[in-house]
Amino acid sequence: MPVLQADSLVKVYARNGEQLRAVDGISFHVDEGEIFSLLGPNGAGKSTTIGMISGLIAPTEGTATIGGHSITAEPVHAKELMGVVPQEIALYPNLTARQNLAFFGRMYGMGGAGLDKRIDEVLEFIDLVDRQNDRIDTFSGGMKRRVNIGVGLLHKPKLVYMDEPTVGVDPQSRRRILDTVLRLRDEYKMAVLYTTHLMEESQEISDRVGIIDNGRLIAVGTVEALIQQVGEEDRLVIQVDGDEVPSSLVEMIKQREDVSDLRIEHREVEGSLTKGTQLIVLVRGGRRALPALLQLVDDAGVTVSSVEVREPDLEAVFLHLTGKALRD
Amino acid sequence: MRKILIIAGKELYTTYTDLNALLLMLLTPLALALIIGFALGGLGGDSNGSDIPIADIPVGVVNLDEGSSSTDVNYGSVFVDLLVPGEGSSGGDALPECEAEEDSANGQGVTLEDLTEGVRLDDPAEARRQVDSGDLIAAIIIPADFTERIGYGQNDPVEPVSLEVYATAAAPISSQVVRSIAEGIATQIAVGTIAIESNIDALVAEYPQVFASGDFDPDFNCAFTNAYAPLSVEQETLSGESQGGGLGFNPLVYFGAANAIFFMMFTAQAGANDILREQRQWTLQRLLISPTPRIQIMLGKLVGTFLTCVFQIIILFAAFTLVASIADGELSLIFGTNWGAIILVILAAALAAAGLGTLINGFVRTPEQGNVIGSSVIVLMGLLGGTFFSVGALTEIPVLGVLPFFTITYWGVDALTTLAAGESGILLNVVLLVALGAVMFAVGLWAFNTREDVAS
Repeated sequence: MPVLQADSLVKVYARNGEQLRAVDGISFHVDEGEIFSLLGPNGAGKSTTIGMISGLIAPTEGTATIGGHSITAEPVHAKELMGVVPQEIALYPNLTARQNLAFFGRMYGMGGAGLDKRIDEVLEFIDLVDRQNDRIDTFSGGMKRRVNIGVGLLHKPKLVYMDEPTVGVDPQSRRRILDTVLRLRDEYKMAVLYTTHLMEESQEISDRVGIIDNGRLIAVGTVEALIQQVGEEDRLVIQVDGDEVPSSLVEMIKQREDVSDLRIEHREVEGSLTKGTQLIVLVRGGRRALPALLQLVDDAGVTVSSVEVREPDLEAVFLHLTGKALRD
Repeated sequence: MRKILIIAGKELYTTYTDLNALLLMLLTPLALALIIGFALGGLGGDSNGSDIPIADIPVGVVNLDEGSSSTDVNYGSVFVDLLVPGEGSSGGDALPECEAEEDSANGQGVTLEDLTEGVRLDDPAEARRQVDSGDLIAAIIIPADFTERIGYGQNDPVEPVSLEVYATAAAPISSQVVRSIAEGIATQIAVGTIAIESNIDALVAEYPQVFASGDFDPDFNCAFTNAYAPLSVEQETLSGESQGGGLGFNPLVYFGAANAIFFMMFTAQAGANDILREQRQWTLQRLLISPTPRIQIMLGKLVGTFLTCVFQIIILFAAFTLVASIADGELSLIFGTNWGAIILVILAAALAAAGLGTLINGFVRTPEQGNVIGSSVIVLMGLLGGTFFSVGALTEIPVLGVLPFFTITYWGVDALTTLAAGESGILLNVVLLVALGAVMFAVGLWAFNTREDVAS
């Protein structure tokens, strides 16, 4: 039995007289002890989906159940089973780490020696025992993130929502957070619903991934199964100077048999005021095709500044399914 | 209920451990009230320190004094002669008249005629009615045995005598002026009597032939005027001012209460505004995600704000009482001793203030909006309700005159000054404050509950 079941969730907002479907009929489930990622670009509808599942936003249509309890009909029972780690640092800055944990623990009905013991465990888990009596506003960003996670775990939920928990943290803290997510599954058998726009995170930690775009869930499955959708194609990312790419070059690349798709993206070149252009080529046997493709570019009088060969990954899947890069 | 108290406890803790909040909540109103108190006199032992221009205070004088049984002296007439323009010697002789001297004792050149606009009345009930209706600021009611008890021409000691000053709490400064005038006149009469009698006794003993000759000039006592004028008599010799409903005005009572309520409303506004700040920092959403009904969260915030306000005003009242006691050199319970009623007013005012904060912040979208609108409303209520000046003058203006009655400040201050004056008629104030608070909280809660953007 899934710990979370979302059925046909729809959220429509009225903005300036128009109906905006932020979430458009999303259905998925999360099994016990599973890490399920919702992967999609910013504005795809991930946080709205989490908001509806957590009872913060009333769905326009559809339902969600946590442990068999409807979030709309039995919100108190449903909320007792879930812990939420929001994207924002949802802590009281003028309280200490321990005071924050104690306050939110009491909001989940905990108290007394049991709460104290659990706070000790959580502080140990997030490795902040030595700073437990310091105010949150004296913490670094990474430490705040860890307390933010600790609050969500305090009442030993069966399901934890983590909404982009690595946003704005340094690589070291990010690594620590990802390890924490894995420990929740492996050591505590918690189910985790993890939202991110970072393909690498999703690919690393997820048992299953749901790809979301424009409010719709466009693919669900294991990482391996999703990658299989794009077959053996590699992505060649050819960075060229200038804003324009001759149309003749585009046509010549597309006419090659081993090329299935070509996208052109204009991007600012790192460390330069000038803009560059990326040719993203979906091609079978990328390394073998690379010399010929570079020759075509050179023949067209276009200067190449860098080349990268990327093997199939979730970003390629997203590109394959939506025709645009995940970071858009 | 447990979660409501947990949220309320968190509110109290965070507020009372915030140094900036404490400065605004406690130190600022205390300092302001003290400054105003010192500026108006009545603190620091100098009651003549006021430089507020006050003139033409409407005063009713009811002289019931039947005069002396042995002479035709009537001390009550002194009040009439001095305070009512065009009145000469009335109902018997007052003290034999002395020629007015330019600039009497203090050199300020301000006469009683400048200060007051007296009318003579015959009926004490009518005088009180005119005070109640706002036609008069105060009524001085001189009892029938006033002269007899002071005892002109007798060798008996001066007896305490009740002199009633019935004044409106709506104009505390003017009321205090009238009270001081009445006290000053009565004191000078009493002291003058003692001085004259003692000196005449000495003169009679020294020069018996002069007084036996029949050439004694009744204006003789004017020679002693400057001698006894600076003298003061302990207030206990005139007990009337603090008895029978008279007003014992202390600037710290009025401006202390007014500032305490004024700043309490800012505290309530900040407490209610905290919901929006919590929404911005996402702790509100975290609470809403927890298995805690939204109504409990809102009630917890309200109770927290309410208790914060209650403690703030109690601490301020204790501080004002301490200051007044230091100034008086003894324990001075300036807000009265009707503890139950005082607490009731504080609770009602705190509820109304918390309700107002909830109402304002239920309709705004950001903490900044809430602060701007909330501060504007509170300052307006403070202005109309008498925080910075007495609303007595305002109530005489058509249309504008009703505005104070729509403010928390007015009803709160009115109730507290009423209790400080030893009266107990505060039921209407309490009912109105509670009703205001309940209605505003309900509307604010409804507005907040209907918001869809709480998750954003």
